[in-house]
Amino acid sequence: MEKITNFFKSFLLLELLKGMALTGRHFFARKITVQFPEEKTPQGFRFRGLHALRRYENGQERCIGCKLCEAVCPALAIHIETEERDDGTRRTTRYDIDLVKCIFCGLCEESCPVDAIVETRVFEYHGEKRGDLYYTKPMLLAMGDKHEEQIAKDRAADAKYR
Amino acid sequence: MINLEIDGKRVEVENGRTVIEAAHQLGIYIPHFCYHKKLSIAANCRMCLVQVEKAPKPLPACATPVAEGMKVFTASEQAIKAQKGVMEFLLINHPLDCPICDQGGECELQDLAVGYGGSASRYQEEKRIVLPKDIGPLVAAEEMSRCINCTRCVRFGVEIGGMMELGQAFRGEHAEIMSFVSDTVDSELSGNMIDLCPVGALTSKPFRYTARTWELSRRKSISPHDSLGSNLVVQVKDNRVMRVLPLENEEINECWLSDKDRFSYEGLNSNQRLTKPMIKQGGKWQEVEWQVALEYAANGLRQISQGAGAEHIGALATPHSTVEELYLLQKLVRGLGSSNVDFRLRQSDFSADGKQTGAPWLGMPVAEINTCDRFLIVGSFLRKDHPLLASRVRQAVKKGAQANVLHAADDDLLMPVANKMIVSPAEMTAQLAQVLKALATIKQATLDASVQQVVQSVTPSAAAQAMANSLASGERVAILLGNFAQQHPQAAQLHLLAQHIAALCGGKFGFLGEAANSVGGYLAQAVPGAQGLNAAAMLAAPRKAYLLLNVEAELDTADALQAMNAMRKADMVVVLSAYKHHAAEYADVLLPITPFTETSGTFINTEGRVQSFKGVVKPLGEARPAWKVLRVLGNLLNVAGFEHDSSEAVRGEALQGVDVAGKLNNALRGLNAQAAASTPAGLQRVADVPIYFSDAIVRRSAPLQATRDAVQPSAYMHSTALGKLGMKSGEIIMVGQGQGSARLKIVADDTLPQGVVRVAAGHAATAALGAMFGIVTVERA
Amino acid sequence: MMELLQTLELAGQNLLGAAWLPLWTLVKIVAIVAPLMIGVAYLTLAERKVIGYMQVRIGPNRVGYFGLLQPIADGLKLMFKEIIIPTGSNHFLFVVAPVLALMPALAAWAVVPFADGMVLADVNAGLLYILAMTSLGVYGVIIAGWASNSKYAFIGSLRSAAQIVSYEIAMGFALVCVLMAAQSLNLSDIVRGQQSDTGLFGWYFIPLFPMFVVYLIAGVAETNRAPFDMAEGESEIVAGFHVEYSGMAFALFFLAEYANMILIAVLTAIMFLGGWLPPFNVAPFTLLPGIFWLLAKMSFVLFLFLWFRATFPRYRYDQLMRLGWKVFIPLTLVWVVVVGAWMQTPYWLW
Repeated sequence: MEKITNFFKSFLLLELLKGMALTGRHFFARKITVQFPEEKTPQGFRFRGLHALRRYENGQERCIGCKLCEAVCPALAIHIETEERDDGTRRTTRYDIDLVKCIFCGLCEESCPVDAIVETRVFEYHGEKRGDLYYTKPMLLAMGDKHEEQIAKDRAADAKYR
Repeated sequence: MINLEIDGKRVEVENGRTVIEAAHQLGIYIPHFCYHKKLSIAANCRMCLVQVEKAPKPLPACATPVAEGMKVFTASEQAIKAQKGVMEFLLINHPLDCPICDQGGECELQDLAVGYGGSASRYQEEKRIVLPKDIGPLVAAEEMSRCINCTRCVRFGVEIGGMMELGQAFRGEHAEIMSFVSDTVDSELSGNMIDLCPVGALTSKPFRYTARTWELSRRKSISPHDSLGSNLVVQVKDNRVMRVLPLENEEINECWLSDKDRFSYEGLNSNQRLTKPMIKQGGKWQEVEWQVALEYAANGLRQISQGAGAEHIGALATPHSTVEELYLLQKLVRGLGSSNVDFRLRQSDFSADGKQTGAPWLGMPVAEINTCDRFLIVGSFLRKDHPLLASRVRQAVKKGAQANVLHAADDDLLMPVANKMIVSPAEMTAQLAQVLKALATIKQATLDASVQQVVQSVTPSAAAQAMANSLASGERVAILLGNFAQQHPQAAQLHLLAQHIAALCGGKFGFLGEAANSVGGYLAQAVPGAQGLNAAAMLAAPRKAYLLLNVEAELDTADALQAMNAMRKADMVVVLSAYKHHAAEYADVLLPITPFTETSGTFINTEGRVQSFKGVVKPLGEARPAWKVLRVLGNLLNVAGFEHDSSEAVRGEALQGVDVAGKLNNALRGLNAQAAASTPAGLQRVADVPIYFSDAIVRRSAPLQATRDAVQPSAYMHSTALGKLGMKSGEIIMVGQGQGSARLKIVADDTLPQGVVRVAAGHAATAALGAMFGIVTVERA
Repeated sequence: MMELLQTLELAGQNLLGAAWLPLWTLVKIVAIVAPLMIGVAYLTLAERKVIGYMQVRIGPNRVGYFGLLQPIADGLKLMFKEIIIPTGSNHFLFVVAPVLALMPALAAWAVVPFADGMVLADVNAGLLYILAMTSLGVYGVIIAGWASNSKYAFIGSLRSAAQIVSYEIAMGFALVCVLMAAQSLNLSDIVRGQQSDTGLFGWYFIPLFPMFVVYLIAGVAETNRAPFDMAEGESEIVAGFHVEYSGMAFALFFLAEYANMILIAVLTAIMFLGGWLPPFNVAPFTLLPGIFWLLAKMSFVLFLFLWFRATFPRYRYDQLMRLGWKVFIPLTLVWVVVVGAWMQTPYWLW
């Protein structure tokens, strides 16, 4: 019986009307669009934007080429090559992040034993050619140099939750 | 047999076994660092502490012998507590530098710390610092602070390597592993210490900081160097061989690897690699397409075979080539109508050809060496030519076997030698005949007619008598002919005499094969047979065309001078080589072929074991596997039967239905012993092939070339002989042989017999000299 | 206004004689097509705005005030894009296909009456002409898919062709009910048939309500619009028959889709919603010109189209076929009989 009533009810298109009523209501709702770039949403100190490689205060690069980030990267976006530098330390000769592959999960940051690779708050960047989004070691170090102040502040803010 | 119970499981083990062995028999894992199945027991890491019923304190499983009715608990509260305590102590002084440590990812300490270590250290004081040490080009000891003093490396050196290269100095917290003052660790087996080290204290220097273990794909392969055919795990990243580790095979290399096998990979991507086919036009080398180069080579060979005749074509290959390559090479040459093909480049006496009943081999399985109780090693630089076989002989000697040595040089074998006769090369046959005579007297046996005459003419010396006594008293005797004996100008005579000695004492008689495929070459029929010319004849009577497979004429042949002359005289020299080398001077076509990592193939080791392997990386540049190159050459020359589409097909054709074991036979038939010629006047040359100059790959491995064994060869003479010439050790002199001469340093070596000069072969510095055996002159430069 | 047009026509006839008629027709065609194209352009903006609003966003607002220049920007962009003709495609058909898709959507407007007497061609078989023209559109789709020489485009074209053909039947039957009620195939006559003193109660959507719904839904399906946009399926399969098209060639398909939407909307207004007739025959409503009412009704139907798209998730292909063949066609068949029977009774008031 119920089946039969449902069958005829379906001809009344009640569900469809209900759905349209919902969208219809929202038609008049207050719009929440944020007018980027004039308006910006607030960012947390754990914001995961463009990557950067950090240095110590004495200018020494932090990265020791342990390749944990390369191993943990779920998108296989990181490519590292290492060698023994003249002073006997383990250093990278290549540290590339393919931002086209990167999913900004933050695991590289999480796995880094020396806080060398970090994700900054920078998210407004673009590339005009495909290769532009393949970030190499000098580019990442430059990012780190440029934003070190903000990065250090963010790491400090997060430190107490670790 | 003893019955005991481990973790509630009953197990029956032999008396004298330890608890950890019993546990392994049950498949129970007990954490450990210092214990190693091949080494003696030290029990100094204490990680394997287990609880034993009725024992008041936990006991180390590796050092506790099993007892009847013993009840062992490996994971009880007490055992775990003890293990965790040990781990905390071990970690106190262990630096937290796993991220930069090359052992990271394959570290026993790291793995066990996950299971037994705390998440934080309670140790606040300063950690122990052990200064880094430079112990040579192979093993890195840069972070000795990581050492947990398990002493595996020390025990390896003493017990397996035969030489204490590393030792533990000082006591307590100051204990540290170090080499003898300013001594390097680069004996022919020392790379194994890297594998043995459970932490990152000893790591591989060439591999240092280049890759992490998890990035590497592991591929099986077979060593192309010595005749043992060690099983390898070749580790590859981004189509490049990053390092080589042993693949455990109890019957061949156990869990060891010689340094030659381990570090030769550094030569694979040497900048001397030939990556494009080249032809010489108007005296200049030009890189060309494969098609052009192959057609050029084929045309040249065709013209000579049609013009001068096929017998003017000669083919030479090194015994490091695979069965497939050797088979196709001989098939190609025979298809052209010539039988001039040989792989025994360093052999100088071919009088045994046609009298052999099979391919010369070890005469027994490799593993049987350990069980022998008497050895007679004739003409072998055993340690350098066969590092792991030497280790097996050493193990046997350690168990009571007696080693007897007949040789022209008295290199330290790192084991007690019962009797040795160090004589000049020319005297070797006579000495061996003396041993045979003494032995026949002891055994009261009548000798075969073929040797009767020669034996009667000699009188056994005291040394020969002692050696015969030693051999006669043995139950499992092994008579082994080394590389030197095989390269000897009277190799067949030595062979015949040794064969009779072995027969008299009922022992095994065998050859320590010279290279990876010394047995395989015979089975691939890469020997000239009755009609063709052998390697020496081919070079003595220069051919118009040569086909060289992997051969560097001046380094890989018995007579460098003669070989170079033959090459220079030839109209057409086609070189198949993985490397650019001296061939640029005499060759007309250079065809880039691949080393063993880039091709599939088969080696038959000295015990007759057929081992096939696959390529582990793609060929570099335009290099191609030699079997493919030879196949296409066969097609271009219209030789029938070159339709193989895989190396397996070639192997199938070469070895299908061949009873490999049945073809192995050392017996000589129909050869008569000849009375030793009188010792020639003048200084005799004793030539070894230094371990790191023995084949094309190791010659180009930078770390191996930096070791002590790879220094530029000097000339060595007995100090008395040196004094007679009025020379001082260390002087630069001129060594002359035939038309050739070489400027070398002369060094006094009193272990050498009088009347010989030891000058290594296989090195560029001595390539201007002639045969490996012969008369040399020593003059002031 | 009608008088003004008539005087203009008479003056022209006097001036140019026989040449006047084609010229005058051309003027009328331009007068219809030009606003239509502008309508199409702004329909895309309207769509983005309406859907945006329903999703609590504000839609395009950067190009021009309120985003009013957005369609022009889009058009410019498409115009400057390269038209890539795939190698291996049939070049002639590849170029002809988008024209074939757009042309019928425009041609159908010839018989659409904007107000009483304001029609380009007052054809007696107007409805038949409409059916013929809208059916032609499917050739554009099939040829586009075939000429691309791409298996994806080809499968896509078969998929949408099957869909269009299926819904055409239900649509045709719905229109049969309308022409039964109006007893004419002339679209102006159909509108006049809906004229009554009661205003909107005389419109055919009252007696033919199920057919109105069927026609509306079939119209959505016919134009490949959400929730029947399997042909394009932008969020899952990325375009169907027109995957290989780019630049202006693609823009033509785009225009055709929206022109078709407008056509279906205006036809719905004419067939079911009384065309140019005001909803109430009282003072303020009757004062407004008929064309205003037609455009208002058309806009309402178009808004419904957009509203549907913002509301309903896409049908699965088998559900779509089931709806067309197993629900709509039987339903329309039954209703044809019902209307036929009803018209024989005195209770038929239209």
